[in-house]
Amino acid sequence: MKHGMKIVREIYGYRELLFELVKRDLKIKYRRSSLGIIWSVLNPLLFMVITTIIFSTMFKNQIENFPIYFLSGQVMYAFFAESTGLAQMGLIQNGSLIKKVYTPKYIFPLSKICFSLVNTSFSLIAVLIIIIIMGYDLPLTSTLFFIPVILIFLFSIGIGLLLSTLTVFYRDILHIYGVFLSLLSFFSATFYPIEIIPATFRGMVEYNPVYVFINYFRVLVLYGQLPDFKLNALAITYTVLSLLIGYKVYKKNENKIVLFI
Amino acid sequence: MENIVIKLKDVSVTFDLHKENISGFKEYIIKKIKRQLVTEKFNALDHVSLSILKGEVIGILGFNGAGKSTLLKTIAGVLTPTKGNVETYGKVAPLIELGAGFDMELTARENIYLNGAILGYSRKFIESKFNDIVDFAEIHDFLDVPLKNYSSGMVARIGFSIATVVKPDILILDEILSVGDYKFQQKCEERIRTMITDDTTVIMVSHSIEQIRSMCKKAFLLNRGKLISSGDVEEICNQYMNINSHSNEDIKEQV
Repeated sequence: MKHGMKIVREIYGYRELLFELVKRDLKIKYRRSSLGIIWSVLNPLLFMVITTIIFSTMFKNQIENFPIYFLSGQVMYAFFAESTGLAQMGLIQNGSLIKKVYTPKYIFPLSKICFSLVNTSFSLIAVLIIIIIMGYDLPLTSTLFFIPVILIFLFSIGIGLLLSTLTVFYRDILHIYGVFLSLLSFFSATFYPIEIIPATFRGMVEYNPVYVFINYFRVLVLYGQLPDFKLNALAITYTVLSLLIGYKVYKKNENKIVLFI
Repeated sequence: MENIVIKLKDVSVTFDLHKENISGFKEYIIKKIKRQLVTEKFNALDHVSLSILKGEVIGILGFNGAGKSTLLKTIAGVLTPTKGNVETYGKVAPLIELGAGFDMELTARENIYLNGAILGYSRKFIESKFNDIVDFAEIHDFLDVPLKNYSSGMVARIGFSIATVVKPDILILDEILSVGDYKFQQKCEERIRTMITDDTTVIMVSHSIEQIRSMCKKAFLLNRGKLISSGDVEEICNQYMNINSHSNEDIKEQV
């Protein structure tokens, strides 16, 4: 715990660098587009409208408020996939810098996760716009939507740290992870009701960490309930485990990274 | 002994030299099973001990591959020694490569803030020094041009002027005074000289003996990762020039 506080304090000390790195990524993303930052809301909005229309016709009768069911899953999954995918490259991309100036190396994958969080908050604005247009009444519990977002953010930091470290040593992971992510999307119940999965395989979805966070979000925003003990326990356990493993693996290899990059 | 700012105690940096470059997981496992994983150890630095006093200007001499850059990187904290330990006191400004960490897609203005943050300066501080940086680099007209359109000399100028905007306690220079045109080189040298008179400790690597002679008082001579000798710059320079023609065996005998 004491150790954890020390790390948090160190990250706080580097907040300006973190801020500049996130800003750099945002600037590069929207450079030379005339609509600029508006794209960050417009893009998810358009994507959501298209996919919602397509999937709505498929599962119309089985899920109530399908667009919101789908979008909540999609936003959470997309955050996990984008943030960890970018974080995975975080160390390799900044290799030339890591070799020449001392900075804590975890800052680079961490900045990618933060960058994704910014993108996701724009997506959430897009979701809100859709909700308002559809005239859906948000339950009171939906004000707690930030809890699953923060949890999946922390969870992704752990995974991102783990991936970026391992990828320095084994570049294959770069390719494997892409395949893994698309597999994961099918096991996250983003666009289908979990009931259509045969009972024997349902556990694979139910205990999938990304699904746990999606479900947490849906319970709050869609079903108007507070998540039960089991869901809370699962979400927190996954988050803590991910952070611990990610940090341990990073720390163990920290000094070797510069030699392999 | 309160004046020591850099202290290396029995420092070794060992690299694993993989005979074949294994970059894949499959390859690694196959090689591991076949016991074909040959790793050779290479000592880039071999039990080096030295201490540098505050305000000293040190030149490091040695042939290619002698461990000069490794030594600088170890002092800068980029590399962690395999054995031994390094202590530094005060703010270290590493100029190992000018413009490391620049993003070519961003403009010069944006890069100044980004690079400042990488070197650990706050945004506020960079804002207050912004004009100094731009003046020194002489890039007024191109501030909002993406760096990819700059010449490499111009990029180096910005890098130098950001890194030296603060008076660091320890300045590390790796072969960087050879960038830019003649005029800018003079300007850089001048700035470093003012730092030296301000009690900044400078460690520099250069292949120009003239430069080492004119700027340093003391020098270290490295060969194959070992610190062969240290002392007055003239003496060491002469020794370096003399061993130039001899084989490595002779060097050992001389020591």
